[in-house]
Amino acid sequence: MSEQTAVKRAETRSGKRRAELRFNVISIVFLSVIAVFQLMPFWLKLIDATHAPDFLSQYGVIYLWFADFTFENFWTVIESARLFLALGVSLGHTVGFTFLSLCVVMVVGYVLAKIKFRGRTIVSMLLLSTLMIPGEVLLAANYQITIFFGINSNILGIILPGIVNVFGIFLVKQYMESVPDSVLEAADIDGCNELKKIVLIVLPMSVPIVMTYVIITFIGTWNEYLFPMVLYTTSGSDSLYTLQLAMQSFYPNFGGNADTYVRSAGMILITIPIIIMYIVFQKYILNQSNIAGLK
Amino acid sequence: MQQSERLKPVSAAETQELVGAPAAPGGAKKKPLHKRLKKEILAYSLIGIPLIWWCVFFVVALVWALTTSFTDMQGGYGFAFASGFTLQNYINIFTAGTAQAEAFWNGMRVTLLWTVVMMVGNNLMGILCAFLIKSIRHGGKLFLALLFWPSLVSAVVGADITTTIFGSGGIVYQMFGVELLESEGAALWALMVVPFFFGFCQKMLIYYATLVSIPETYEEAASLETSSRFRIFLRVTFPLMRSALVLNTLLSIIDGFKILGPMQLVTDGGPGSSTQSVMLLIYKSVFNAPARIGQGCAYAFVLFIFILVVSIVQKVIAGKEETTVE
Repeated sequence: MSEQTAVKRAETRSGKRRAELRFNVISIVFLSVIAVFQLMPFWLKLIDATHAPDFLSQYGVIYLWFADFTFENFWTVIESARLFLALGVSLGHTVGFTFLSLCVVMVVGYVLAKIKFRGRTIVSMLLLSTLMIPGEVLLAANYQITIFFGINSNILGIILPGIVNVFGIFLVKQYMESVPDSVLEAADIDGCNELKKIVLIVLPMSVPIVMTYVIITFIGTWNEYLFPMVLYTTSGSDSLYTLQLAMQSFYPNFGGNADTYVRSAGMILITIPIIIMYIVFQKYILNQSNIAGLK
Repeated sequence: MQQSERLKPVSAAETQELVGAPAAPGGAKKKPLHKRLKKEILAYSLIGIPLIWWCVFFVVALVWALTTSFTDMQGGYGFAFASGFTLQNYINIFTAGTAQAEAFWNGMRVTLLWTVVMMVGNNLMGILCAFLIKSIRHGGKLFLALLFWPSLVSAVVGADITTTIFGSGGIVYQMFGVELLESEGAALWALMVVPFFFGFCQKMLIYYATLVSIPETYEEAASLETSSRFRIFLRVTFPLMRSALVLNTLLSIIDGFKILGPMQLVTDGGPGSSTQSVMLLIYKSVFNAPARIGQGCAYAFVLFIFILVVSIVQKVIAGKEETTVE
C-alpha cells in the first residue's frame, strides 16, 4: 500500500466525517426550527395568560417574556367559566367512556380472536364496515337516537353512543390472536369461565395494547367537542358542558385586554392534563407500531 | 356491564338467526342441538349486547339517515319517512343553479383543496422529519417527543391559536397589517396553518415506526455504492415505506373529507362561504335554523359516496400489497 492511497483514504474518511457532521447540524437546526414553531403559540398563550387584567399590551408588540406577571387570570377563568364543574363532567365522560368501551373491546376482541364460532366472519365484516363510514355522517342520526332514549340532557348521552369502538376491537383482537391457545385450554380445565379468562389471563397478557388503547381513547375523548356540543347546546344543558365545550362557549366580557388574557388562561388549563398524560405515558404514545400494523 | 352480559339468555333460535343459516355439520347429528351450538351460544351470549348496541347506534342510525335523505324533513325529531318519498334533495344537488348545488359544490371545492394540501404537505413533512429524526446521531428520541405532542392538543385550543395568530387584531395583523381571516381568498389558507403544523406529527410517527423497522443492512449495502444519504433514501428506503405511505394517504383523505373543526370554530364558513366545507354545510343544514335535515342527510350521503370512491381508487392505484385486517 503506497503512502498516497493511505493519505487519500484518510482524506475521504475525514471528508465523510465532515459531511456527516454537516448533515447532523443542518438536520438538528431544521428540526429545532419546527419544534420552536410548534411551541411558540403555546408560549405566547402562556405569556398572555399571565398578564395582569389591567395590563395594556402595546399595539404591534409581541410579548415574548412575562410582563406584569400574575396568576389572577387562572382563578378568574376557573370561576367564570365554571371550570371545576366542567372538569367533573369531563372526567366522568372520559373515564366512563374509556372504561365501558374497554370492557366492550376486550370482550368482543377476545371472542372474535379466540372462539371459533359460526358467523365469525360475517360479524367481523359487519363491524369492519363501520370503519368505512365517517362518524360525522351519522351525527344527526345519533343525535336523534339519543333523544329517543331520553339521554340527550344527560351525561350518558355523550358516553353511550360510541362505546362499541370498532377500531379498538380490531386493534385488540389482532394482539389477542398471539395469546397461545394452550394457556386458555389449561384455564378451561381449571374451570375458568370466559369472563374469568378474559380478566385473569388475556388482560394481563395484553397489557401493552390495552395501555395503548386506553391512552388513545382517553385523549380522544378528552378532546372531543362536536357531539357534546350538538347534544348539550340544543338541549340547553349548560351545566353538563365538558371542559372543551365550556372554553369554546366562553366569551368573557371584562373589557380591555382582560378577555384575551382570561381565555388564554383557560386554554392553557384545558391543555395541561393532556401534557401530563403525554409526559407520563410517552412510551406508549410514541410506540405506534401496533397501530401502524393494523391497516 | 360484564355481569349483565353473562346473565343475558340467548336462545338457540336467536343464535341461528344471527348466524344466518341453521348449522348442520355432517357427522354431528347425534348430539343435541345445544351441544352442537355450544361455541355459538357462548360467543353470542358474550357479544350479543355489544352487537345490539352497535346495531342501534350504527345500523339504525345509518338507516335513519338514508331514509331521511329521501324526505323533506325540515327540523324536529322523529322518523320522517312516513311523510312521503322524494328525490328532490338529490336532484337539488345535481341540478346546476340551485342554491343547494351551489353550496354543495362550493363545499366540495373547499374540502378538496383542504384535503389535497393536507395530504401532500403532511406526508412530505412527515417523511422528511421522520427521516431526519432517524438519521441524526443524537437527540432523535427527544425531537420525536418534541414534535409529536401538538397532535394531542384539542381542536378548541387549536382554533383559539388560529384566532390569536390570524384573527382580527391578531399577531399577523399587528406585524403586517393584514387580516387574513377576513379575506375571502386567504381565509382558507390561514385556517390550514395550525392544523398543518399540529397534524403532520401523526403521519411522522407512523413513518418513523416504519423507518425503524427497516433492517439497517439494506442501507449499509447501499452506502457502499453511493455516499449521498438522500439518494439512498430515495432509491432504497423510500420504496420500502410503501405500506406506510398508502396508510397515511388513506388516513389523510378520510380525515380531509370530513374536516369541520377549524372552520366551525374559527370562521363559521365565512367570509362569504369561502371556508364552508361540506361537513360544515351538513352540520349547518341539520342543526342551524332554518334546519333542513332531509337535505343535510342527502349531502352527507353524496359525500360518503365520494369518500368511498376515492378510497377505492386510491387502493387500486396503490396496488394490492396492502394487507387487510382479516
